[in-house]
Amino acid sequence: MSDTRPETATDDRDPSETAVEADGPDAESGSADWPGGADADADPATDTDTVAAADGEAGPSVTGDGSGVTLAATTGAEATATGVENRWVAGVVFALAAVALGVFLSNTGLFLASIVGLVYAAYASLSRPPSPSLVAKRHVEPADPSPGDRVAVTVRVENAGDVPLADVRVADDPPADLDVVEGDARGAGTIEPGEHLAVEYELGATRGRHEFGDVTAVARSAAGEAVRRTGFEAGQSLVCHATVDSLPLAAQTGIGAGRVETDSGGEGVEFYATREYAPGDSASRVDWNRYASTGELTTVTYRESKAATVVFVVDGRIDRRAAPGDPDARDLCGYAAVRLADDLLDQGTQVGASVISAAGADFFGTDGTLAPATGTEQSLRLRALLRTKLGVTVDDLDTTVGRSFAAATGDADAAGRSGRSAGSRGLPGGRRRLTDEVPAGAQVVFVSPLLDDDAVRAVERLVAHEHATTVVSPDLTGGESAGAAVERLRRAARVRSVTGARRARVVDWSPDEPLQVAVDRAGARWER
Amino acid sequence: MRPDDPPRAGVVSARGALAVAAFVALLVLALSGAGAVGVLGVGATVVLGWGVGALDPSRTRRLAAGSVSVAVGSAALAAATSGLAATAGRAGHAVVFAGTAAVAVAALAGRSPETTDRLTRAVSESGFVALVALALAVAWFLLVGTGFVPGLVAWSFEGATAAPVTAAVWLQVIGIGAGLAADRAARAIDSLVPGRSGPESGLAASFRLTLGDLPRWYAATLVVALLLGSAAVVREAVASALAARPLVGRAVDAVLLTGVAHAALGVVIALSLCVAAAPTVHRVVVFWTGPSPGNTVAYGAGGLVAVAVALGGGALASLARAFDLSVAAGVPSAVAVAVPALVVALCALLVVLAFVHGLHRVTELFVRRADGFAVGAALLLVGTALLADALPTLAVVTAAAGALAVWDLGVHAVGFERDLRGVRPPTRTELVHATATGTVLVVAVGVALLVGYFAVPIRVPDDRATVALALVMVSVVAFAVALRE
Repeated sequence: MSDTRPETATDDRDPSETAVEADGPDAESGSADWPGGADADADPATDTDTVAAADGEAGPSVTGDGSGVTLAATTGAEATATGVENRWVAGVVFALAAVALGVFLSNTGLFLASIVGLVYAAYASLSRPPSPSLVAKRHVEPADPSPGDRVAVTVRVENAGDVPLADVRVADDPPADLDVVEGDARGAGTIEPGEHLAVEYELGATRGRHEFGDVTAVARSAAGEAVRRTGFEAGQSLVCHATVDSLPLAAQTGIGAGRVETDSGGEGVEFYATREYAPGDSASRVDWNRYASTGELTTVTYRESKAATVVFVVDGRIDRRAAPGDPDARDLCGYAAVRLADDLLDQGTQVGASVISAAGADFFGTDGTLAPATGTEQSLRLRALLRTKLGVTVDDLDTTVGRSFAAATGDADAAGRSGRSAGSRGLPGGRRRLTDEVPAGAQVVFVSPLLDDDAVRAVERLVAHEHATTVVSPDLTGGESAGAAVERLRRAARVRSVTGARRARVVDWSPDEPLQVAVDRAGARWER
Repeated sequence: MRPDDPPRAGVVSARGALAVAAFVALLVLALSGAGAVGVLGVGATVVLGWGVGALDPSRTRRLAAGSVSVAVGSAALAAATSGLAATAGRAGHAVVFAGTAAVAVAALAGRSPETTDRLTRAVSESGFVALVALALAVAWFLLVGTGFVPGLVAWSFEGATAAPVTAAVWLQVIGIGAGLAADRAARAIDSLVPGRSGPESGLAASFRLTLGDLPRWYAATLVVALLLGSAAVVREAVASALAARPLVGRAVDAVLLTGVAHAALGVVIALSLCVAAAPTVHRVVVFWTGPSPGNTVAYGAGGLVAVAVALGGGALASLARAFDLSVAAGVPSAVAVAVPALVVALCALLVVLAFVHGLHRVTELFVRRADGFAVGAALLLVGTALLADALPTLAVVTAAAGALAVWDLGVHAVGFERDLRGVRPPTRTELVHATATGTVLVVAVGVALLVGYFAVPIRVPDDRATVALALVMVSVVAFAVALRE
């Protein structure tokens, strides 16, 4: 696979939204009531540090640089929970039972055994919860995992105080949808002052955004009777997905230099051809070797690279999935569009988008359009368009990037409205004609599962309007039933139809494989 | 973590609790006159607890070892308990055993529905094996032990070889029976190993016979010959004819009247019928073992060992009787050894199963937090109390402190398991708590002994002492509650 670079980030809780919270006293059991997951809005970070110090002053403070954020939360008595296990009651009950048995059986030894119970009760009763000064830190490595990678998580809880802690039990709250493949998210130990307890485990990364919960530490007295529980807010997000790069574009270009190599000579870096010298040609481009051998003056020309405008047309008409629990057609189409658009935007290509919402006898209606543009903001607008029009969330970006996600959502709608030309004709329900929404001279990447003949007609219409069209088609016909087999055959026929007479290029993508693999396979086929 | 270690937290505390419980039990039992039987019983409780914990269906070998341990531990515990009950007659011994067993099961197996389910399966499979063996032993006793079948065979043999004509006829009948049995055996082999029943055109194949192959005239001739041969006139005629020809007469005596040929064919019939019964046995075994034969046999390994021990004991008894040692040593018959042994093993398994289920139920209802340790500690205290009149004061106080330590360590172990769910804490962390508790309890024992040293000589009437104690205890409880508040 060519240069597939994962694009991931680990985020921790937005400090501005963080508040140190304390669980209520758990006086009945004193057990570590480990917390569940926590939702977290995030800033990129790999580590999360949380400090709990018993100096009585509460309130979060933030330190850190751009790459990592350290959350220092000062907790007082109200931020931790203390409790007892009431083991002393067992001593008292034991003493009463011993006395009763001693009296009943007239036995001195049993009678005296009650003193043992009383001493034990006194020991347990006098036990006080420790006052730990703990610093918790979670480290996630790698910070940018690809799907299938193992993510090593280390939670360090350091005893920052000057009193040894006899029994500290620590539990991390890993993302619920990731499996712990090695180790365990819990641990315990005795921590001397200045030393730490490390809990190490590994997660199997899967595609998507995953939320870590809080870290909980429970310190017990040596008697085990008194308990102090400290909850460290350590919400953190782990985002994992594979990127796509180098989608080969068609030759259709606009004006200006760009990344699409054309079939014409001019300015560039790759040798294209030689032509007869014309007055005004630069002397540095004259082929002097040829002039020396033949006496002819020729000029070397290079292959021109020009800019292209690419419009992603996302087929949102069909909501079907290959199997229960799998992503549906809209999810896959939206995912593919975002991944490919991000690649093109990174290379400076102008990218637009349009969502097909209906197909009629002689028209295709769009339900939202994004005018071609460049830059990161356009990537956000595309996500917003897909989220609002198709309900597809490609959850791979931090919401705080530029604080413009919400604005981009509005921009997407606005762009859809402003992108309409004055002379275009509208359709019932506020929809627009597909061919009116695609600028002249723009290439089209048509993302569709090709589950009906209307999709083929759409390709035909786009090609007829002289848009170089690339079809990216997630395959949803992987079932084992007879109906699925028929559907598979019909889709294969549509793929052949699109690549044949309609002169479009097809990336046939099985969702079981990375999108980049399908792109590379298609690219190799196109080169032949 | 090693694969043979079940993922449990608080192992050190749990095993510490078991060690303390075993120490308390041995102390109490030794000082109350239980002797070596007490050691056997305590050891049996540990074996039983380990066996219950080892019933892991994912590892067949360990599962089989666990089943055997359960059977052996149960039988040994039953033997120790019944032995002590017969000699000492103290209920306290059984209670101490029960307390130790409860702690052993809690420490080595834990309390979970899976534990009781697996034990139920092990007991049912082992019990089934023991029950089948018991039925076979009883049948053997009825058919062979009473002499019925041997007598029948001897009577038939004598009848069949009484006269030359009848001997010749019976020889033919037995030969036909051997042919029919050989045919059944060949079919059985073919059903078990298709195509491997041997060549059809061999010597063995020539002996195969079906009822359809037997001509009716031949059968009628045999019947007529048998009837005629039984007649006195014919017998005398044949005898006189043989007497007139000494050589032929000796040959007839050697072949027919000695019964050598009859016995040989009888052996062939017996072996052939054993082979013919193999498919039925195979079907029975397949039905018993079900879809997971390895696991089923492993679950029943305890029963198989019990059967082996019982039958081995019976065989030894038979040998002893065969060499006339029974008179000197009072050796019972083989059946008298095997049947009671199997019954005891069966009953012991059922009692242990009921005990573990009861322990699970009581723990769930009353002392969920302390698992089986609380029940074990309570039983140890009660057992100590029941044997207290035979124990010195120091032993009683020490045993009581030990019971409290069992409870404390058990609660701590269960707390680890609840909080860490299988992650083992460092041994040091567990030892800190155990050391602290042990120190406190040692001090408590010292204080109790000091108080006893100074206060016991004081004598007060019983009724006043009782009232005073009740008031003291109420005061202590009130003081403790006030202290907590």
